[in-house]
Amino acid sequence: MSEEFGHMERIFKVAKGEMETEDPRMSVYRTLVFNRFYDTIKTSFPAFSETVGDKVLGELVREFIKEKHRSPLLLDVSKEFYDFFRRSSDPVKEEFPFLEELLFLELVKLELFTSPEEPKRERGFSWEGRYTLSPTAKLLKFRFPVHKELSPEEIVRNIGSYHLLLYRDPEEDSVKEVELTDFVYRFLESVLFKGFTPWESLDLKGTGLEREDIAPYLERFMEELLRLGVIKCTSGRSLP
Amino acid sequence: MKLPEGVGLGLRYSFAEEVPKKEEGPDWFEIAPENWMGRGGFFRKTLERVRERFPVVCHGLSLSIGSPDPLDTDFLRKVKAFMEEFEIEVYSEHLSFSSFKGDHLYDLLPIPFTEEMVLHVSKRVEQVQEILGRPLILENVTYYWRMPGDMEEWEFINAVLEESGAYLLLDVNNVYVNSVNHGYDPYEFLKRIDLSKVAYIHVAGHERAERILIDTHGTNVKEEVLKLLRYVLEKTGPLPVLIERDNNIPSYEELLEEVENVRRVWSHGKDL
Repeated sequence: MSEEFGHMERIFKVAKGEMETEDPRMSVYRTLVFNRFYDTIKTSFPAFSETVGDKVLGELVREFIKEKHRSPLLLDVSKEFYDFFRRSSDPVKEEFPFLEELLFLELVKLELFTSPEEPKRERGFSWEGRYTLSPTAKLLKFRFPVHKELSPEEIVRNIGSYHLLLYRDPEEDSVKEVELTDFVYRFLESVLFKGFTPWESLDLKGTGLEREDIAPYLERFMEELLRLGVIKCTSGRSLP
Repeated sequence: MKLPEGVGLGLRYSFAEEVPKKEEGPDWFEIAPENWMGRGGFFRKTLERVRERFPVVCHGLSLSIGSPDPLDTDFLRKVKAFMEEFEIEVYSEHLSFSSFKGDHLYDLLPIPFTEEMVLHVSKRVEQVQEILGRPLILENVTYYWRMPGDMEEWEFINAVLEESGAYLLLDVNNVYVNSVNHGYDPYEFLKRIDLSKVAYIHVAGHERAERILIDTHGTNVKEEVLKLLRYVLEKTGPLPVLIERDNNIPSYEELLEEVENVRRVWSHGKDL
C-alpha cells in the first residue's frame, strides 16, 4: 500500500506546485487546482483582484496554494487567503497600502452574506434598553476609504478615519453598508460593546450638540436598526 | 434509497433563484452539499424554495474516498445533518482523492487501480455508509495521468462496487474523455462495467486543450456523449440522468433547452 500512497503523494505535490514534473499530463492537475483556487479568490474578492491585477493575483494564488488548507469546504479558503495575505510581504502591499483593509472589507461582506444566522427583526427602541449587534452585522473602522469607488491613488490620498456598519438585509439577503460619523460610531460602540444604555452612551462633550437636537435622529436610526435586525435588545422594552 | 426519475440539472447559484419562479424545469436537481451547507440567507431560502418543488440529490466534492488520511467523520456528520434537514436521500461522491495529510486541494485526483486500493477504498465506503445510514454512490472520474497500477479502470470500478456494496454514478462524459485521452473504445469499456450497479448517470460537456480532452463542464453535452448515453440507456432502461454545468454557465432558459435535448435521448431509452 505504501507504493500506492507514494504515487498519490507525488501527484498531490505536483498539483500543489511543490514538486516539478516534465509529464504534461500530470501537470494538468496543477493547472486545474490553480484555476479552482484562482476563480474562488477572484469571485470572493473582486475589488482586491481588480486592484492587484491578474498577474499579481496569479502569483499570490500560486503561493497561497502551497499553504495547508484544512477545511473540506472551498468557501473557507477565502478566510485563509486573508490570513495568508496579512502574513505576506509581497511588494504589492507597499504599492497599495490599503489592500489589507480592502481584503478585510470584502471578506466581512462574504461572511455576512453566507452566515448561517438569520437577522431577527424587532421594534420598540428604548433609551433605557440594552442592545447587542446581530451576528449578521459588523461595526468596522478603517484608515482608508476602501468602501468607496475610488481609484487606488484617491484611496491612498484620502487616508483618514472611516466608520462603517455592514449588515445583511433580511428582505433582499444582500449585504448593505452605512457610513457612520465618528459620533454615531462611538455611540454605537458604547451601546453595543460596552454595555451602556443608549441614554448613558449619549456623550455630547465637544460636539456642540444638544440632547434634544440629536435624540430624535438617533431614536429613528436605532428603531430602523432594530427593524432590520442589525441590533438586538438584550434587556428593556422591545417588541418582536 | 429513492432515486429521482427523468432528467436532472446541477443547481448553480447563478440561476438558482429563477428555478422556483418558472413553471417548466428539469425533473430534479443535484447539489454539492459543500456549497450549500452551513449557510443562511440567500442559500437557505433558495434551497428551501427549490426543495419545495423538486427532488434533490447530494453530489459531494470533498469526501476524498481514496485518501490515505482517516475519514473526516465530523464533516460527514455535518453532511448527514444537512441531508436530513432538507430531506435529501441520495448521496454520491467521486472515486478519487482530493486531500492528503490533512491538506485539501478541492480537485479530483486519480487513485491507483490496484487490489490494495480496492480494499482501502471499500473499507472507507463501508464507514461512510454506516455514518450516513444509506448506500454510497461513487462516480467514475476523468484521469489525465494514469497512476501505476495492475488493474484496468473498469476492473477496478467493478471490484470496488463488488467489495464495498456501493452503487455507481456512471459519468458517460468521463468515459468518453478517458477513452480519447487513453486510447480505448468507450463502448468496450461500457460492456465490461457492471451496469446493474448504476444508480444514475452524469452527462456534461468537455473541451479540447492541446492534445487531450478536459472535462470542463463548460459546454453543452457533445453528440458523441449523447450517443454513449443512448447506448447505456438501451442496456439499463430509464435510469435518472443529470446534466452538469459548472463553467460558462448560460441562462436558465438555455439550460432548459439542454434538458429537453437530453430528455429526447432519455425518452428513447424509456420507450425501449
